[in-house]
Amino acid sequence: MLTIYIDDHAYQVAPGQNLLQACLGLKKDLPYFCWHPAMGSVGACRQCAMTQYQDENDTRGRMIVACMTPVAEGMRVSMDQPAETEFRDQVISALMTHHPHDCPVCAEGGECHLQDMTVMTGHHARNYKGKKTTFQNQHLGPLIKHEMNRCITCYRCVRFYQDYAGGSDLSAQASKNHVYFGRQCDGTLESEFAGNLVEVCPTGVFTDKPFGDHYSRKWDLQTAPSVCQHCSVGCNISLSERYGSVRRVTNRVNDHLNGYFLCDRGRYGFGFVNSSMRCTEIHKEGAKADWLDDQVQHTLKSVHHWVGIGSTQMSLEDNFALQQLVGAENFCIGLDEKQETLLRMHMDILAQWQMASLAEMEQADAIVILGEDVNNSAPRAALAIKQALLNNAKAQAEKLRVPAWQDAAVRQIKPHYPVPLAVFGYGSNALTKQASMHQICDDKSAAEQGFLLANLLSSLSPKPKVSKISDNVQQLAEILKSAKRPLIVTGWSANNPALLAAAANIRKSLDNSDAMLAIFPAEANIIGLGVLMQRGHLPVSELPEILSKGKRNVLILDHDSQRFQQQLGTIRGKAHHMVRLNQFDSVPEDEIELPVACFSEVSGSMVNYQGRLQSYYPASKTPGQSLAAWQWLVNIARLRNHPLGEVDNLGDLRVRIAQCIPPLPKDWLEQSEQGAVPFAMQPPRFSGRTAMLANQTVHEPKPFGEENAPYKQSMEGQLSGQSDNQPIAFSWSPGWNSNQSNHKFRDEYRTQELSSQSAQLLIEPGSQKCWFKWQPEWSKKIDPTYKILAMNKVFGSDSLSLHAIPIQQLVAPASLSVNAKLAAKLGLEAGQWVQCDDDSIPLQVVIENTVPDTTMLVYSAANQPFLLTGCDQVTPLADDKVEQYLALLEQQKAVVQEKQDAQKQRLLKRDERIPIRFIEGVS
Amino acid sequence: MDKPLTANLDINNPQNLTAYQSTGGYKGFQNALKISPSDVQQQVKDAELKGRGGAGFNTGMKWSFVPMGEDAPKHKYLICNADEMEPGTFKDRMLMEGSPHLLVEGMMIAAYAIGADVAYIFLRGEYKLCAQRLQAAIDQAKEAGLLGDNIQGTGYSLKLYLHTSAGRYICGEETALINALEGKRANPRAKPPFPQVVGLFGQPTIVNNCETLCNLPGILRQGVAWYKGLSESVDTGSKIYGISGRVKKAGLWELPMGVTARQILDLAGGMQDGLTLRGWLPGGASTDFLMPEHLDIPMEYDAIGKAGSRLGTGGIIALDDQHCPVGMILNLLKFFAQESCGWCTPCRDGLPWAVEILTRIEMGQGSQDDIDTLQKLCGFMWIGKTFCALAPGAVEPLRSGMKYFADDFQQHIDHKGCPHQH
Repeated sequence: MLTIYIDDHAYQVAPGQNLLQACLGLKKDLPYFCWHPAMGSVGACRQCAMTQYQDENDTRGRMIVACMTPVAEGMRVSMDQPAETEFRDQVISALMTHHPHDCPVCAEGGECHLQDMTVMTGHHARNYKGKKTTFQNQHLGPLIKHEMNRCITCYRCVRFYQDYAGGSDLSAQASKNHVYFGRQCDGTLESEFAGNLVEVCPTGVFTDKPFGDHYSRKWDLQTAPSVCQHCSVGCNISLSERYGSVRRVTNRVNDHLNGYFLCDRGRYGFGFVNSSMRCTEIHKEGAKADWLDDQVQHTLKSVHHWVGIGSTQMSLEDNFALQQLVGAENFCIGLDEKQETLLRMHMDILAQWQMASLAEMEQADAIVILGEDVNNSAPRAALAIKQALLNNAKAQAEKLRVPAWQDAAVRQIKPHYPVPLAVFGYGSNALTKQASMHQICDDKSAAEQGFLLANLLSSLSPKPKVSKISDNVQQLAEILKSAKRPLIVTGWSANNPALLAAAANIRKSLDNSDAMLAIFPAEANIIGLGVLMQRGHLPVSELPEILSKGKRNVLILDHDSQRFQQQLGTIRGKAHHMVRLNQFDSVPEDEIELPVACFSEVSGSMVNYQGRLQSYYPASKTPGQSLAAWQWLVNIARLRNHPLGEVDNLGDLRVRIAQCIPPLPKDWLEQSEQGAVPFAMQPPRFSGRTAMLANQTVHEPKPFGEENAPYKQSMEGQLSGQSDNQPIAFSWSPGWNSNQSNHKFRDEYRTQELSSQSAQLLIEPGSQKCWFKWQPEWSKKIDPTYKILAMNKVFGSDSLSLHAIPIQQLVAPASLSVNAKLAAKLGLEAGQWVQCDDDSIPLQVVIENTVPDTTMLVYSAANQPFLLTGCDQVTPLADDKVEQYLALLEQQKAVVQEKQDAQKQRLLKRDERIPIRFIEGVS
Repeated sequence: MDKPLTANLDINNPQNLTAYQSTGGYKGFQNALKISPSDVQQQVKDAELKGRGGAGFNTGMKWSFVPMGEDAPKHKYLICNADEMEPGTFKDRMLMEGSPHLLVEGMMIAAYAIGADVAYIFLRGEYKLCAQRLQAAIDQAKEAGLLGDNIQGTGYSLKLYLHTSAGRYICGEETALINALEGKRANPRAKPPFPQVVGLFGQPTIVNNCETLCNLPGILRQGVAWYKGLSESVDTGSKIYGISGRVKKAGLWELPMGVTARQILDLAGGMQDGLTLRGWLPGGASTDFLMPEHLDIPMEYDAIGKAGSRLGTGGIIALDDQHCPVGMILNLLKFFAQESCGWCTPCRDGLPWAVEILTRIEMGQGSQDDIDTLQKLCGFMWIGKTFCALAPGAVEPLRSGMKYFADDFQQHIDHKGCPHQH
């Protein structure tokens, strides 16, 4: 630690940081704009000016900007002297010369960093007498609203969009005081991280469009800490509610995972909770029913054998309750056969190796990606990998005595000190474009090359069936040997366990305790299911046989994917009774449908790709008759006098889980202990507490909170961030209304040592590490002429987020990518519409040379599953059919537009009258 | 006195390679090739050649920060800053139009001294004739084997390219120039790293002003002692001085370092009839005003500095008594506000603010508080507060003008108009 003197007071600060960072770490109020904890310093805005003195005798000093000044032992600075306070005031005055002062109609108002900083500097009277510049705004798509006049030219947006996230369609244009941040012309922003502009922008240039359509001030939002449901990373989010509907998702800083940024699927995918398709009533054969109906009770009491099908869309608690209710031997985890194999392999690997967190991945200095399109399967992880590509430049910068947070300088050096990134696989994405080595191959040969690579690194590593080693692999072996922190990445996209085995073998063959491994499963809570699977389960392959034994009842936890619906057809006929617990209305053939709460309405936990257990809390209340799935299961258990029926609340259930799945993080259980002051989910300035329901009742309702829960949907209680043990619901601190208030709750930034994460990990890797052998079935040839590889897309491949309207607006039509050679052979042209074999989905041809020979890369949205794995023939769609299909697509677009309007009207209507049953203590 | 810069300069018909060589051209380069690069650096350091772009930093010293020897990066760059856009300054244009080979030779010497394998001339886009003549000179030198691989069997190779700028004043700032040359936005870079270590395309790079480079052939051909003997001032060598404004004969003259502004004004034939000198900017628009009583101060870096201004480019702008000082300052500030790159707040938003106030004052709509605001803006954009030197330079005529011509400002406000327009 270093000693520095700020206004003659001595402070201890960590070395290696800049003065601004140090001041914020000391909880001082030093205003700034262009600096960002994750993006470093560039010194553009000059807002964080301070005065530096040579020694204690120096009384004049010289002005510095804190963000560009490294802390040094004994340094003497001031931030309260007239020179710097006046200058900081002047900076705001200058920035505000062209600002429209439209705070009342600005969506940023109330959480605007510019407002905060303006107040902080003391600037309050405008003395610029000239006219203001006006800009023309652009339509940037369904997610982001553009209002350039508010811009204060801090350059954060382009620095995030281009430098940090690698986007190319947003740039700084023009010069002097006419600098314009936008696209070349109107159009949807292409980056899947564009939503972060909303949080990165210190004022209201880029605002959240869906939120703006159904808007509330930040101070009126009730906010809950939550966890993203749309991929296996498990980014930490804050969910905000007003008048019973969820309004938006914002980033909740987690040093190990998402840091300061989310992907747009995570930010905008939550919309499914407000969907009109939500199932909120009990149904019996399609008709509205009641829990107390004889028939419903009769069915649920059925003494015949029950089989349960779990779901990745539901929490660990829900799936656990189901497993308890039906018994492990009757608990089918809800994946298909291939996925079950993958999960077994994945769990084997997790038992040996700890998966790298995103923060650790950012530290990598050599990266191998095996057959996984991380960009589309776990977008936030791809963003972390992208940051690792700066590491060698940072090391070089340090040699030149340039600190690593000098962002612009580091990026100048970057091209000359690249970090090796090797991609074995198919398709092109942001990472392949940055790859120093890109071997185009299918999943099988990617796995083979992985096995060969492991074997080159360690002769003990098993060989695959093939022996031809590519030059790339030879070269890569040398790179990995000399790397300090190599990272191996793979995942489930290709549905191929050989890739997982290969990655684990490479990891084992690296004699380096800092080497890292990361495997991304296909969906959010899969590892949670894996943990339950290890306690015993019914393999899906045995399900038909079990059902054929007659009089079997099936209990299905929420599954909304079309792929599952198609499989369900076969089960439906055979089951005696079929009971579904649904988030979304399903087909009336289902015998009983129980409405299940979404993640925004109840508490629950999920397990991410690392085995990290993370909990979410309800931002709103359950609609209609819906309940948490585990609650329904407990109720069913009570009908049948099953021991699960003794569970009283979520805490009880967690205690039961802890008895079965040790070790569970202690604080996870403590959350349900009594006595602690709950934390408030409403900010201190929440308005309308007594007025919101005044048209219905004069009683002030009791604040809502789940039984024994550590929070209350109230203004009273611990303020967010006051307790170390509890997650921050919303980031707010006096004077810091925007999310920049984060630093008030944190000691250090991500550049510092990370806190230990082992406490939150469910799976402790053992010391025994084993090799994975190449399985003969992995070498099996497929019959069809062309192998079909599945392609994922951020918007489209996740079925839950497809219920969110902004995501629906971004979903691309199905496509078939082939390389130019194959296209020529088959006579295909880019843009043409075709069909594969007898499949009915029209696919638009894309010529993409990163697709290997004799394979086709097919993308189709999750609500239109493409089931072929191979194809012999590609037939062009007849002209009239193409026309029909294009018309259909247009029609679908119009439908989405209608749905958007209808949803808005529906939610606005609801705002006028909150259902009174939402309020506890009022009947 | 010897005039190493202009002795053989011909604006209408510049020397071709043969003519240039016949008057001793490329001898300096040949001499340089005979000694080691570090010896060349030492000679230039000893000659105390100061950068002619305005800052006046010792050229040899600047070069010495470039990594040399075996461990040095393979590629190094030399850039000639010929983006001459300083208002009132046109000396580089004359040199390039009238003596293109002089610059080419100077660049060869500098490139050799720092071990650069590639050199660029970053030329102001509007200088079309310069471009034509420089390109011809480069082609001739290439053909004669003076440029290219293994020059004259010495093992030294150099490629020289001409780049015509798309035109921004900020490209005169060396790191902004480098960004522009890389095809990026012409914003200045943070220092450190300095371009001498991490410059163009991340490699060690030296950016020298055109006139600075033109001084090198003389030093290498005729030696340090001769060069230092050119002037009697503390600053060595000769310099192209110029004057513009309403003088009888505006123009450029090569004179020994340290002549007085009065001598230059005399060479121009004095002020036009009926006009008296009210003030002058010693070296381009981004220097502080000096007054007639300063005319006898030697035009050298320290002396002008002590008088409260900067030598800058040595291109004097004369203000006469019939011209409104407020109008002149407004005109200059408009230029600088227009040319701000938009990177840092004081420059981007401070300069247009100053322009807004000055415009109103000049139109007779100013008020007393505007003067205070202007004063504050001068402090707001001063050295140490901005990202680069553009805004502090732009403020120089404003803050000194407000000091020397305070009465004029007051008159504009009191009489609600510009006295020179009535």
